[in-house]
Amino acid sequence: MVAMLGQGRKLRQSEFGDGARAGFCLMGACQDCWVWDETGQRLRACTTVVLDGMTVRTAPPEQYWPVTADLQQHLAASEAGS
Amino acid sequence: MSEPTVVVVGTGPAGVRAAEALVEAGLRPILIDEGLRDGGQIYRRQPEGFKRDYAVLYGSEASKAHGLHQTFEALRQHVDYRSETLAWNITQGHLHTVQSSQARSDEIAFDALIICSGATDRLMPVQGWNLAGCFSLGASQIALKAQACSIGSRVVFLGSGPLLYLVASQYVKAGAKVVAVLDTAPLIPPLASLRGLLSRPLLLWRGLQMMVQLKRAGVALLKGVKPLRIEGRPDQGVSGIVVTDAGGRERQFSADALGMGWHLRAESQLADLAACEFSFEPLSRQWLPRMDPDGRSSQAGVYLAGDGARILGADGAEAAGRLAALAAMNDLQLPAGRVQYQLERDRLRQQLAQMDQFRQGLARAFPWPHQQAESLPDAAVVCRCEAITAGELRRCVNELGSRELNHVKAFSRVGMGRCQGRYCGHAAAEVIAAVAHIPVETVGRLRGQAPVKPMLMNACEVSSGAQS
Amino acid sequence: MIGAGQVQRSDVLIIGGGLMGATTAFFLRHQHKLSVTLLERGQIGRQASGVNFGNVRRQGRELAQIPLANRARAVWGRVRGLLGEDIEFRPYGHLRVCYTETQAAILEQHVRDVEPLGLELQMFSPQALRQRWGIFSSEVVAGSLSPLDGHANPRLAGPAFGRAARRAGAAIHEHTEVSHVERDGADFLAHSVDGRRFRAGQLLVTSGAWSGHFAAAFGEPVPLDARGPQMGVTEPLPYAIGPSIGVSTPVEVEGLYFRQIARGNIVFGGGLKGSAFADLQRAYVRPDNVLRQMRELRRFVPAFAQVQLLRVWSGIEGYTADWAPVMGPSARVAGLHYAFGFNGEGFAISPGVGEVMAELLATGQTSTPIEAFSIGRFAR
Repeated sequence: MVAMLGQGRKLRQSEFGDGARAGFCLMGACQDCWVWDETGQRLRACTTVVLDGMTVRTAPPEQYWPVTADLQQHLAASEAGS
Repeated sequence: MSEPTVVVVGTGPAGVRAAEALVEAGLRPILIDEGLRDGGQIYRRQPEGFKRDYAVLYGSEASKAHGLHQTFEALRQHVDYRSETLAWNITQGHLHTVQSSQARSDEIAFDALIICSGATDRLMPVQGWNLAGCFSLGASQIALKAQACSIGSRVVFLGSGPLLYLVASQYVKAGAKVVAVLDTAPLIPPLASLRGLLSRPLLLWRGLQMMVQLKRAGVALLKGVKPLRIEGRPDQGVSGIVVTDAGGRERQFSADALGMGWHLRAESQLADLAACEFSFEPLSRQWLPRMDPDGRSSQAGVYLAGDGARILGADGAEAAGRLAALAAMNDLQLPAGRVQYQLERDRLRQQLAQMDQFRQGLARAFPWPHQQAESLPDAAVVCRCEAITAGELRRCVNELGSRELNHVKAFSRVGMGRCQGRYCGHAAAEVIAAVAHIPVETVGRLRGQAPVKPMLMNACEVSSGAQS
Repeated sequence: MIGAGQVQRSDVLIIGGGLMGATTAFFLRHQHKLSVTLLERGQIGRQASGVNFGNVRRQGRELAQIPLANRARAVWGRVRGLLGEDIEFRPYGHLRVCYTETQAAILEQHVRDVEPLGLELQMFSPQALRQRWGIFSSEVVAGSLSPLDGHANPRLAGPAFGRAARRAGAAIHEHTEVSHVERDGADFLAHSVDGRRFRAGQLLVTSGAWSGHFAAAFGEPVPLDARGPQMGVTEPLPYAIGPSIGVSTPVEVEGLYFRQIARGNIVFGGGLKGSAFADLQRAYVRPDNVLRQMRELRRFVPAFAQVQLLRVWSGIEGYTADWAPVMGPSARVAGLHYAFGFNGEGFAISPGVGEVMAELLATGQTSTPIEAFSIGRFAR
């Protein structure tokens, strides 16, 4: 986590619209620092040691729970209806 | 009779001293450690291979930290040490663990369990505390100790308690720019706190010295502070903080990082899942697991030691860990343990009683600022994980008639996030109590639900051969 | 406030403030203008009503329940307007998948069986499933979609119906435990533990897993088994999946189901049940069940391996020996009615149960067939 913050001020975006997050407790308690590797594996940044060749993402990779065509249709229909 | 299985959860000062007592009596305990390395938080070890000096890392506590780490190294081959292992649940006589990196689960049948789960910082929200660049005091210290980094280039520390001054002075010593230390405790500590504080005069002296050093270094030191808001932008993070000082004047400090915390909050989730009884302590306004002076919980076979049960600090944790292990061995009727227990019990109890005196003094001198909950603006986020505001909690009370924390949780989602209520639970209870005009004790506490921490769903079932 | 001396009288007295009681109270006021008092020993909707999975499905039910389920679905469609608040009903479909061709044939038969009852389902091949959802493992061989079914939020539903009932004029008494009910002339007289008394011409027992006590007191005992659903919820994930999805299988441990809410969390349940103790009001999630659930979830949706579980919970559901609910008038006592024993699948049909029971209480009959659920069947 510290390594990431040495390069920029954020680790991820809050899911609920209140902006960038950068972790909080640095001890694995607050769960604010979860990031992803490129395969979609979850990494708790503050308790994960940096290793050579690691890729870390501040947003989920495309293949991580991609929106299904089915849901896209439902959401489009709801928007059209409202 | 085959050797009883004793499990210790946590390898901070309490866990290590508990393990030491068990090994001395000839047992081979199982040590469960969520971390990568032993040491817990306060004596957190630097990554393997790092060579920074103990004096640099732990300051005045260097010899204690060193002693503890050396003890663990000596114990290593006499214990079954499982690192990166989370104790996620507990049922009658069984501890359930998972090692996510191996997708491996275990179910450990125990004769005695000693929970040394430690503590986290205790937080009172301030509007804007969810901005990037706000960290706990503990985090500020870990960044420095474990990674030789400051949380920012212009840092403000906010909160109360000895850790506030300790971290600030560690930062100054390390050459970081500390703009201000903002203490919410009243300017003059109440007379009632002095008796407690004087029970550990050396610690009190050290605390006063730190304040002098900070002042000398040009750090603005304010007491009796009321935080108003943390400034910044959601996409850019913290830029400063506005408070009113003891005289009622608004003061603004620019900063790119903020360390905040009001002493500590016991990590009591495992004790809760073990169905240990809890009671409310009015002095600290928190719910703590019930225990006898030796660390016996209300559940037979489950013992509690260290900050996860009573916040007595590292020295207290060492004594409590040892005492709980001796009590466990006594209760298991192990001859060697029995003898040690009889020999040492009174001394250890006395030590702990003295530390508890100090704890009470601290709680009075650096109180949990519960009144801040009442004056939190409606727009202030209380639950960081789910972005639930104080206003939303108040709506549940006023419009939906909720008066109890779990009921408010069901409607507002407070405490439903990844941190499982660790950082919002206490403040949420205070917000509810204030708007409902009821004692905070009647608001209750968040009901414990497994897993103790978020658990990756790759875990495989316990393999039939792995039961111990 | 009712003092200890006074007796409150209403047309209908309801014992039990879960969804069945709350919806009935609401419809009695909203549609029939009868006076109604509801007594709940805890808080509205906190038992099985509040901890269940939240499925709103007609697909997969016993055929005898489909008319009732259709009626319920009609209410769900207007529930937002009725309650004045959002209980998160999302008609994004209910999808059942299966692992064997034998089971696929059963799904196909069900499609044929429910069509005359007004329920239209669609079968999906593995390729079609992949195209529309793409999340399933190669073990899944077929799927059946009920496009107009969906899911809603059980935590919110019961209390929302309770508030709506209150606004409509129902007397809702929480923290009011009934110690016993007696006949007093043509009326029923309920005594609460704190000394209050409530009188009504008709009585409805909707006390969930605890209804057996009242049924037995009126001479028509119903053996009820209390079981604990094993529920869990994940961290928030990118919002990807619309329908509630389950595995259709005769093998209990395989029967997992999940749904994603708009905030991104996935709620799941299924597999083996846990222990529930109705008298103690305690129910537990077994750790070994959680690990089995994780295994079975990964089995049909491999992406679960990268998701974190945040918490688990259980509750107390009442099960009857024949898997059918108990619903309708008493077989022995005039004016007495029941609606309980919904075998862990009451949430979906609760608005229909409420509308039907209200109709029954107000008019003496209902247009929806419920004879199969009569309490009289246990007397034999």
